[in-house]
Formats: sequence, C-alpha cells, structure tokens
Amino acid sequence: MGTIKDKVAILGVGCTRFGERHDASVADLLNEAVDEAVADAGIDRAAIEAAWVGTYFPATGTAGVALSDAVRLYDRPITRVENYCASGMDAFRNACFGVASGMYDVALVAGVEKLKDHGDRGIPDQGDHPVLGRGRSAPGSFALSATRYLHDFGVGREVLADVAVKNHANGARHAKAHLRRAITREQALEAPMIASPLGLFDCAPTSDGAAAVVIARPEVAHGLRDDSVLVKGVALDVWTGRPYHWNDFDYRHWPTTRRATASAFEQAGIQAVDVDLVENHDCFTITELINLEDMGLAPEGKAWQLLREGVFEVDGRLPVNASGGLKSFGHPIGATGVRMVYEVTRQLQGRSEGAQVPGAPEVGVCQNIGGAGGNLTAVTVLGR
Amino acid sequence: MTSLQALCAYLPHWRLDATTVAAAWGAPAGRGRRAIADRDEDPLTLAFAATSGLPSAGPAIDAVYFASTSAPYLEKQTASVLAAALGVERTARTLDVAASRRGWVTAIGLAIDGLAAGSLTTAVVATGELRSAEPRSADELGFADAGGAALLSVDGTGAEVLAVRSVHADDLGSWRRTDDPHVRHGEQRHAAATFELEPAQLALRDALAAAGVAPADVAAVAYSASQPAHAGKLLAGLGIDAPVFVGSTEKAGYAGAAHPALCLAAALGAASPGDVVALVATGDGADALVVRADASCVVVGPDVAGTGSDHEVAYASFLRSRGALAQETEPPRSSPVAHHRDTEQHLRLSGIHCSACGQVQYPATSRCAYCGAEDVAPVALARHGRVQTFTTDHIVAGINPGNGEGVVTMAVVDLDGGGRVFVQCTSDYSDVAIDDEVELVLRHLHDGSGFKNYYWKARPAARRGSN
Repeated sequence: MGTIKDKVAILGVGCTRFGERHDASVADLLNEAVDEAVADAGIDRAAIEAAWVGTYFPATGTAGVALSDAVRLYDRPITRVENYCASGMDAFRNACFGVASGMYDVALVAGVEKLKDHGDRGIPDQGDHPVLGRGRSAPGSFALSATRYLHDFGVGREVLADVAVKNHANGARHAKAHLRRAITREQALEAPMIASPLGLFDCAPTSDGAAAVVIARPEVAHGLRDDSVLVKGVALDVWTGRPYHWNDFDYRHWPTTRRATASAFEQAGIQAVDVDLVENHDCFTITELINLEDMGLAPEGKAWQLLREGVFEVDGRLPVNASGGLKSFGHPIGATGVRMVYEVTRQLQGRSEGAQVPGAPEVGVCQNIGGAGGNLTAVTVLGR
Repeated sequence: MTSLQALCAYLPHWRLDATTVAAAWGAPAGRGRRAIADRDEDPLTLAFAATSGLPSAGPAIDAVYFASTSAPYLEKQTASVLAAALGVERTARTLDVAASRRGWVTAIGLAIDGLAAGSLTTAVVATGELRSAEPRSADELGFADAGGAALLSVDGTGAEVLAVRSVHADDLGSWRRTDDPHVRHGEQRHAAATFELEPAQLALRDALAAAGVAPADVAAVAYSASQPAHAGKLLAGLGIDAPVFVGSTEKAGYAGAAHPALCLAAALGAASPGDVVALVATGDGADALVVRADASCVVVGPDVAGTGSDHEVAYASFLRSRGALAQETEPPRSSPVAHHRDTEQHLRLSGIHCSACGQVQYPATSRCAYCGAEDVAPVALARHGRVQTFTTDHIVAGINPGNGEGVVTMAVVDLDGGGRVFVQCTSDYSDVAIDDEVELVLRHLHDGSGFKNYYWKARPAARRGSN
C-alpha cells in the first residue's frame, strides 16, 4: 500500500455553529461553512474543480446535487459519500485522492446534517432488520461496550463522567460548540439513564451543522498561504455491520480503529509518541476511552486513569478533544469528520476558536467512527 | 398401543390480582388472580413454550395440530407456523382447530384416530390461548392465558390411551362473534347445567364404557369448565369417587382451549402408575379422554405457587398490552418474501458450522466469516447460553415504537456449542448480569408489514418442571 503524504494541502477551512439551528436549512448550513472555507482559502469559488459531500441521512440530501443546488456550484463532478457517522471523513479521504492523483488542483469537501427539524432523539431507524438485533439504538449499541469495559476493568461510571466533565469544559470555551456549559461529575452521575450504564451526559447531542474544507496540491497552496497544513495519512477500515454476532468480539476494543490507526500512522511515518493532539469520536463517553486505547495512546483499560491524571486536558501531555468533541461540540453526523479536520487544522495553525493547544503542535490526528463500535473507522493524520 | 408420551402445560409469568384492578378503579377489592401473557406473547408463542417442555421428538413428528379460540390469524394457519418453528418434516400434517374451548381434546382425538389407523406415528397437539375481556368485567380476572402441548405416539411408552369420545351441543353459554372484541355470556346457571354438566356426563360415561373402565376404578378426573363448581355433581352422577382437578382457576383463571392441558397436567402429575385418569373438556359439548398413567409419561406442569409466578403486572401496562389503551405504533418494515427466505435462520435459529475452522456462526452465510471457507453446513443452534454483555435502553422505544415498549433490555448471548445472538430480554428479566445463564424463548416482536414477526428473546434459564 502506498501513501499520499504531503501531496495534499489544506487551503481553507470553515464550520458553522453546531447546535439546534432552527434558523437554518441544509442549504443555509452548507453555504455558511463553504463560504467560510472559500474565504479562508483566499480563492474564487470558480477555482473549485471537484467536490465531495458527506451526509448520512437521505433526508439531509442525496447525490451530488445535495451540494450543487445548495451552494450553486454546477457543472463539476460532485460525489455524495455515505459511510455512517464517518461519512464526512470518508468524503475528505476521497477528495484527497482526487487531488493527490493530479486530477484536480483544487477540491472542496463538505459535510452536513440536519437532525433538529424533527423531534427525533438519537438516530432514527434506517430500515434496520425486522428481527436481527431489533431493539437496539445508538446509545444502546455503545452501552454494550460500556457494560463490558466497566465490568472487565473493575471501574465505575465515574470514569465515564470524567470524560464528560473534560469535554464539556472544553466545549464551553469554543464559540461554535453546541453545548457551551461546564458540568460537574455529580451532575453527570445523577442524570437520567439513557441506556445503562450510559446516562444523559454520557451521550453526545444530536445537532445541526456543516463543515467544509478546501484542499489543493501543495504547489497551488504555496502561493496562497504560508501556514498550510499538509495531509500525512488517510485511512479507512471497514469490518462488519453486525459485530454483535461475532463469536470473539470482546466489546472492549474495536479492531477497525486499531487497523485504521496503524495504516494512517504508517502512511504518515509517525508513531503514537509523535502525536501532539487528537480529535476523536466521543459520541459517547465510553467511546473516547476505548478510542484512545485502540489508537495506542493509552494502555488497554488505562485510558480513564491517564484522563484522571490530566494527560488529555488542553494543557496536558496529549490534548484530546480540545474542541469539546462530539460530546460538547455536537454531532451533525455527516459534518463531524470534516469538522475534525477543520479543528485540527486551526489548532496546528495556532488559531483555534476554542481552547488553543499550547506549544505549537505539529502533528494532529482525527479519528471518526462509523456505526456502532466495530463497524468502521476513518483516521486522518495532519501535520505542518 | 397409542399413548400420551408427554404433556406440558405452560402458564405465562405475569399475574394480575384483584387488588390491583380494584385499586386502579377505586373500587372495593374483589377476589381473583389471573395469569397473563406478556405483551410479546400470543397463542402461537404460548403453544410453542409448551412444546419446548416436551422431549425432543424431532423428525419423527408427522402431525402438528393446534387448537385455540384466539389464534393470531383468521386466515392463515397457526399449526404450520408451529411446524416451521419445530422444524418438522414438510410432509407432516398440520391442522388448526378453531372456535371451541374443547378443541384441544378434539384435536387429540383426531390424532389418536390417525395413530390407531396407522397413518400417523408421532403427533404434537398444541394449544395456546390469549383470553381478552372487557376491562373491569368479571372475565378480566376470571380468564387466564396459557399454553399446552401433548406428544402422542405409537412407540409403546407413556400413558396408554384407553378411549376418547365426543359429544356436541349448540352451546349458548359463552360465545364470541368474529367481530366481537370479547366473549359474551348467556344465562350462567342455565349454561352450567345445560352446556357443561350435561354433555360432560354424556361424554365421560361414553368414554369410560368404551375403555371398559368401571366408574369406581377411575383414580382421578381432570375437568375443564368455565364453571367448575359443579364438578362434584358430575362425579356423583356417574358414581365416581375420585379427586377432581379443575385447573388453577383460583390462582390463574380459566384458560379456554388451553385449560384442559392445565387440568390434565395436574391430574397426571398427582397420579400413580396404573391409575386410570379421565379428562373431560367442555365447550360446544364435551370431549372425554381416558388414559392409564405410567411412569414413562413425561409431565411438565406449571407450579403456580412456585417461582416465576410472582410478577405482578401494572394494570395500565396490562390494559395497553391488550389494546385497551390506544398507542400509536409504527412497526418496522418487514417482508413476507424475506421472512420465507429466512425461516430457518429466524424461526429455527439455524446458523452454520464451518468444517475448515470449526466456527459455529450466526446468521448463516454462504462462506465462513472467520476463515472464508465455503465448506459450511447448516446447524441448529442451542437455545441456551450465557450473557456476554447487555444494556437496559430507556429511549429505544421512543426512537421507534416498533422497537418495543418502555424500557428494552438487550443482551448479547453466547450460545452453548457456539454462535452468538443479540436479542431483547423478556420483560420479567430486568436484573440481567454478565455471565447469567439464559434460555431463548420465541416471542412476537412486532407486526411489521402486517404479519406476525416472531423472534427469540432471552430470559433466565428455566428450572425444568417449574416454568
């Protein structure tokens, strides 16, 4: 397998405020994010040669026209990408190949989701099987891992609450985050149960939002900005839609994250110790802990302990989800992976709109899970 | 020799007590207590639960009969669903006996005729009843939900069948027209004498005569009637001096077509080898069956005083499960075509075994999920295993009511002998823990695409003999 290391530069990034955007349609959200990314890139929209858009729900938009009509960008190749909650990052990955291959000089990536025009909680039924696994929900699927994690490592729900406390504190500092308030451990522990052992504060909110990234060949980017962030590695690993039928699945780790991380790190030529900051997919508190262990950033069963020691705080040795993460920044499904690229890019450029990671970080990693743990994972490594 | 090899009576685990009903209506407490099916149980699953107590007769079964007054379908057989779930040969005979509270014994009579004539060798005769009544009516507490199943054979073991006889009557004691939601009643004292006692005496006298058994030699009588209080008159009129078993009406209620199974299980459970035991079931006349008890006859009866019968249902939950409280539901999409394609996988819980790497896996695929080999063969999975992990989900029903009602506990279960399933837990199983031993029971999941979608749920492993 090859690598596209340093063959793609990030020219501009944009992101809407996430949250209950009752004021904005899908098109409004896309325009808000794309306009910001294009302005940040300092290019004319006409320079965009091709685009990829990530959405999960057909109701948000289908086909390339989901983007073309929204932002009035016609007569170009536009592809809609759907890969569960990693739709946005997979759209980014495919766009990178389009540029790295030399096919396009400048490409646009957008991710968007509109969840709050309806009162649905969680992720609504998407034509699931009539009997196999019937009765599961998004929180319920991750709760299966939480039950096993707490049992096997002999820890209580406090370790989950610690993740929520950290990410709420970070999100409170970000102008574009959905949930902008700090919480206490007691609030998290006393909140209503959603799917045991996950309570309300263990769950990311469902949000509206969009994010966009303009990418270009480094030669093109060079003349436009001197703080370009480069793509070092893009990986995707797809396992199974029904991990719960696998005899040896232990629920404590997700092999897709292990494999995608190994691949992205190899492409980038880095190791875990080289990572300066991480945005990972904390759709639920348990997910952040398992992600960190799967990414090799904490020993198995010990992520909660490093968290308690402050390692993952914004000013810690390895800041994790300085943006607030999905937990606090929000999770408009198709937008999330693109939002991670937006956040890490700005962190590496020293211009986060939230809590800036100190010490001029050089290598940032984004990890985006699709589906319940075990389905698929996308990992992107960005660097200066 | 035609014999009753095994008999299983099944009472669901929930109970509704008179005090609960009285409290809900702000009325003085009456008396009574009934067994009620869980909201995911129906006559088919109640009957299947009873067949699960029978010894495995497997491929030898060449008839599956089902009797009920409350079958899940008006047009579509329940016996054939039962046959598919039991995995019997396609050439087995199936039959539904509808409408009559004595239908299960009538069906046993038909099976006995087939066995005696040599056209059958092994028959399963099942029954399941979901007895609905008007809220606050006497029937609400007087009725029971239950299942029953008999295994009849010519292989020489079990309780020998001595005779079976039938008497008919145009019974206007109780009835339900096709569009009536609940049972209607005639004049009850008239009905007790005319439509229960009189045909019961005729049928039992006839059966004893056919069996060549003198009334004085009858050791026990099982009597299934909506008004069992006149059982004494029945016995006195025939000169029988023996204990009478009228089912668990005090503790569970009257279970219609399934009630004779409760009565007979109690009578046979108390009998000694060699005892002559008679069953009389009323409704549109009466059917009488006379057998000679034997130690080789397997009897699995509900121990209504024992464990598993102490789950008190909340009245509102009971009413909603019976459709008396409206609920907007949106069942998931299903497909009759896919249902047919997946019958083995879903109703039989069949997986595959890989002969290359040995992994037993579920659901079935054409190549091994673990090593990729194509040398895989279907295998019936065990319905017993251990909990790998679980969650109690408080919002899944709110996300989509087709996922269940209220709190739904989901468990991943490692089955004995291999294969892993991800299923709901039954509503009476709320204290799930990792490594719990569980069994899988067939339940009604939803009515997606307008038909009954049945699948498995987990509940604590049964202690045999005390459902």
